[in-house]
Amino acid sequence: MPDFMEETAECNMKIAVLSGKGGTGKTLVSVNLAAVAGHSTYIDCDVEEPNGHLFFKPAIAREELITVKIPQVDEKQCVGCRACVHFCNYNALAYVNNRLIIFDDVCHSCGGCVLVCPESALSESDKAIGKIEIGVAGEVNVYTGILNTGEATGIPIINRLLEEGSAEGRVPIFIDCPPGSACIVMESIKDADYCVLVAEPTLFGAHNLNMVYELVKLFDKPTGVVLNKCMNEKNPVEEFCLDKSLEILGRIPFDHELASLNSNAEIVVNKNEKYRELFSDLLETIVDRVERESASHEPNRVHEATAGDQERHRVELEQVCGEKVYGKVTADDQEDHRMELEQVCGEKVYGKVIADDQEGHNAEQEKASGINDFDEPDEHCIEREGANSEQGYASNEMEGGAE
Amino acid sequence: MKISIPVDNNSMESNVCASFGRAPFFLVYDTETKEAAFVENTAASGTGGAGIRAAQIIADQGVSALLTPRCGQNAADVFRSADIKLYRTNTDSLKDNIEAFIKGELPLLEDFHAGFHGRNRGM
Ligand code: SF4
Ligand code: SF4
Repeated sequence: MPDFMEETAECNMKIAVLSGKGGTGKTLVSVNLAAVAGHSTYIDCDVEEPNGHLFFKPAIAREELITVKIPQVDEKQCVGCRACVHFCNYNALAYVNNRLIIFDDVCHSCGGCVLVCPESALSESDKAIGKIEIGVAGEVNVYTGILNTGEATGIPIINRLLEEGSAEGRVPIFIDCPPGSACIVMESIKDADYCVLVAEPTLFGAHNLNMVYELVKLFDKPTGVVLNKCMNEKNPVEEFCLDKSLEILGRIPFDHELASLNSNAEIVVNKNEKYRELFSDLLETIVDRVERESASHEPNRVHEATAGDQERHRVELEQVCGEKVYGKVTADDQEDHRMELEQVCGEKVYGKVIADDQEGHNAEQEKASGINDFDEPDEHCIEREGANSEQGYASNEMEGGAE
Repeated sequence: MKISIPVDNNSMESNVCASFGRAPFFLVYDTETKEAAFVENTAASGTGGAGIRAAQIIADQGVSALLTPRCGQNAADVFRSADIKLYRTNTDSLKDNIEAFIKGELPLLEDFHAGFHGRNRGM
């Protein structure tokens, strides 16, 4: 463990590493930061393509299946009264041709249909959506989330990962987030103390950085940028950071040796002293910023909602993002979506924010962001464009190293 | 034969609605008696799964075919269970599509877009 970590090892330190797209160097940064920190935790929340374990090659100590509850019908008992169909807020049930159809991927596992069925024809069954793997590589605890292909959302896996990964208290904790800025990324960073955004030094890199920067801004997270694949040229990302008063925490040079080590799934800090120094310096800077933040800020979001509030906020949030939402939801989350919507449509939004509001602005958003949305209006998660917050920080992500 | 079409307004002059699950109305039309009725799509303003609820509404009308520019996979599953055939509309005009359908000129709709969630990584 580097010296500067010793006194700080006690303090809570969750560092999320993000990027606007895959292949930017996000995994390179989070894996090597965890390795150089020594006694640390690495959590791979990129559940659709977890790569961190390829670098750490951890000895797997434990596996846990992640399941959600889905109703199943006993057709012999069902009398077709449709009480369940009418009850389901998410339209996960249909009754046609004297048969109940259950749409697993739309079901939010609320359990309500099972309760309202007057014939007790419905019961809950577990459906596995993926698993988490807990392993050890030297001093680093490695937590990996794996989502089964075709499953709607990895959010239950991420919640479990973060819970498990934080439980042991082996800090600092590095959270390797999914790329992009969808709901699942929001889940991954919600408890983070600091966000590190990794970006490539290109115009496209600046565009991707902006997307993810808008996301962390919504969460009011302290943020800094790491530039990957740097060459001695003018760099649009540096300009972006300057423009947004975003701190550049470190620069990883474009370097053939580093790229080839990384693409061979080697942890570069273990292979060459100069990379160890590079990441050690980066870690020192990040640790310093996290400490400064925690010294200057009282945590500003200690909102323990009651069970009723909780459910209300969840429903609201799900309406906004059109996806299942797990874990705790607070009024602040809802507020965040309002801001987002206001940013998109450029005017004040009052009252409850629902998915349809957002849908109305879809075309606009798509034009602005150049991202294709789905055909059905309620399908998109969240795109932000043109936010105008005054917060003076942003984050950058790097994925996949200096290849 | 009774057919249904998602429409923008509750009038025979309406256009075919570009969205199925979020269409404000469905025309229910009897090709023999020429009787037309407009059913409000209560799913249009709902939360998720609009396509499923909309499909339920149409199935409850006892129609044999739906004429639509597109349809989601989940709704298509409901229609399959309800033995409702799907045809792809070829213009915006409601009347032209009904005529084309009666002449047997509309192709079957066979490709469905991903369900409610898709695989959106936010990029
Ligand atoms: S558990 Fe809840 S969300 Fe799932 S089908 Fe039943 S009522 Fe709908
Ligand atoms: S509430 Fe029970 S009996 Fe009624 S339709 Fe649903 S499953 Fe069948």
